[in-house]
Amino acid sequence: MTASRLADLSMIETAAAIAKGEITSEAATRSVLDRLKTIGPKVNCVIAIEEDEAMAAARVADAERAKGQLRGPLHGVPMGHKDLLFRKGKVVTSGAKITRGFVAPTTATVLERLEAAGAIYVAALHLAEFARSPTGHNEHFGPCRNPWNLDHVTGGSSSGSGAAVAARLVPAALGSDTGGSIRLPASICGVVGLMPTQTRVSRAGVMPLSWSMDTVGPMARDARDCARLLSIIAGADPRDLTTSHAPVPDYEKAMPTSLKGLRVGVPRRFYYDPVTPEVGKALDESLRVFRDVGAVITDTDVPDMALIDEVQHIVRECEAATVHGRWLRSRPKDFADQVRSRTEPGLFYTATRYLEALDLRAPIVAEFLAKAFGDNDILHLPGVPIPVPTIAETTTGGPEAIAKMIRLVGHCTRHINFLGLPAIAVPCGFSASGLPIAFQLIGRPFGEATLLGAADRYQAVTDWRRRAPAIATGAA
Amino acid sequence: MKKETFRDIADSVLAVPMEDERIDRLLATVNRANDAVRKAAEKLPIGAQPSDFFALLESERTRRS
Repeated sequence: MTASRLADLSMIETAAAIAKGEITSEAATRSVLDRLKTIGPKVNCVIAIEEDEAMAAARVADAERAKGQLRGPLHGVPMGHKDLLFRKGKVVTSGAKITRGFVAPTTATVLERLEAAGAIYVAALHLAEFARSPTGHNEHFGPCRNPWNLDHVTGGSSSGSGAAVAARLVPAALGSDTGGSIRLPASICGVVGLMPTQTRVSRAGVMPLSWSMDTVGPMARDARDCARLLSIIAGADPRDLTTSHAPVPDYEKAMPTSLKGLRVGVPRRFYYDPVTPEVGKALDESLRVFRDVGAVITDTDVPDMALIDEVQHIVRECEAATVHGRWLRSRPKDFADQVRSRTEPGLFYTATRYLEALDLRAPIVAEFLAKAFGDNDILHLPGVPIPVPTIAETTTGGPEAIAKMIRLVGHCTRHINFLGLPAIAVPCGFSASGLPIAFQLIGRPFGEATLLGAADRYQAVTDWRRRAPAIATGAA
Repeated sequence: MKKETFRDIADSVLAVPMEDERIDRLLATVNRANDAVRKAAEKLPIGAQPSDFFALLESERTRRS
């Protein structure tokens, strides 16, 4: 199989080809390593490559397969992940100058589960500093660049995961999402990103940003790959006592195969307020596709989103300031100003105000489910309401202009983390300048199978996921 | 919160004094969020607690399964 054909395979196709002996894990891993080393620097999506260990693991996987032993559904599949997932004894940077030499004391549960399923860890991928930017801003490692146009942002904070999957450098990757950090790079790079229900996936061994809202999830080129990854990483974990003990379905099998009668709510107020005509047209077209396959589309409304904005802000910033307090005091100049500015407000809220914000969570979620969902099964929202900005547009113009752009990019994502609901970003077109446009689907608590099924059916009748940036095909 | 109070807090929790311009920028954000959450919290039911959120997620799951 040629190198370009290998890169074109989805994660599930790669796993199947290895399992059947059509390709070796060594060949798949070599292909991924070559692309990470040649295309990776152009996109700046890689922080560290583990070539020797990955190749050794691939040879072991091939030897096991030759003996008829498959570890699991990802046997021999090479993957890279956001560099804030701990691996015992390895440096995990979290994209920061401050933790550039941090050696992790433990391994993230999600990585242990992927390894047990047969996956091979190949690379640590770029991210925004301490996962603190929806645009992907990182002054210490430089900006990760959008594979569709290197002058544009990738979205963040799982910048490298989004860019590496979009550029066909890795078949899939894990990211984390506290205000949109999976869904924004997925939307902006043109891949699928799933943020599961809060409590569905363990955060043990993951550098925290905000314990109440951090969520780990998969990024891949299609929903089916995300379904398999979620089946592997989800479930109770004694190392993260917030994880739910609800049984984990086989999401590939649990996904609905028909959307006939699926009720899709479209909250136009608030979510569509900043949507530009070009983005709006692509979103409307995606709704037409859902209608054509049998879904029932209705407009719906949302509660007081301004209040949710303030409440989620207090929770996130108080927790972030707690995580970073020692460094805000001792090394303030080692934060990028964007990151420091966003974290400092957390120092100025009282403990009672923070706890009031947490107490408000249940009634606000209940109100959102009643008002926005009503009888609907899922909600359909924009991924990013505006065309993908350039890197320059997110880093110049002064603090007020930058803050405005940050708020605009995350306008449709950040509230969902506070609500704890599952959400998936799905590509649905391109702007005139060739940058991706995406929609989000929001589910009810533990409604991942419905979200994945809806995304999968949408992808089955559209071809956006088959398009690759020129840099991935060698044309750039 | 008054600017003087804000500065006192900044001085007590940070090793490096916070610049005036920075305080002005943060003050508006902090005061807006403080006011919004304080007002909303006054309507919380008696006995509300943070774990209610986790109970709600689980009850939604079991209700629909």
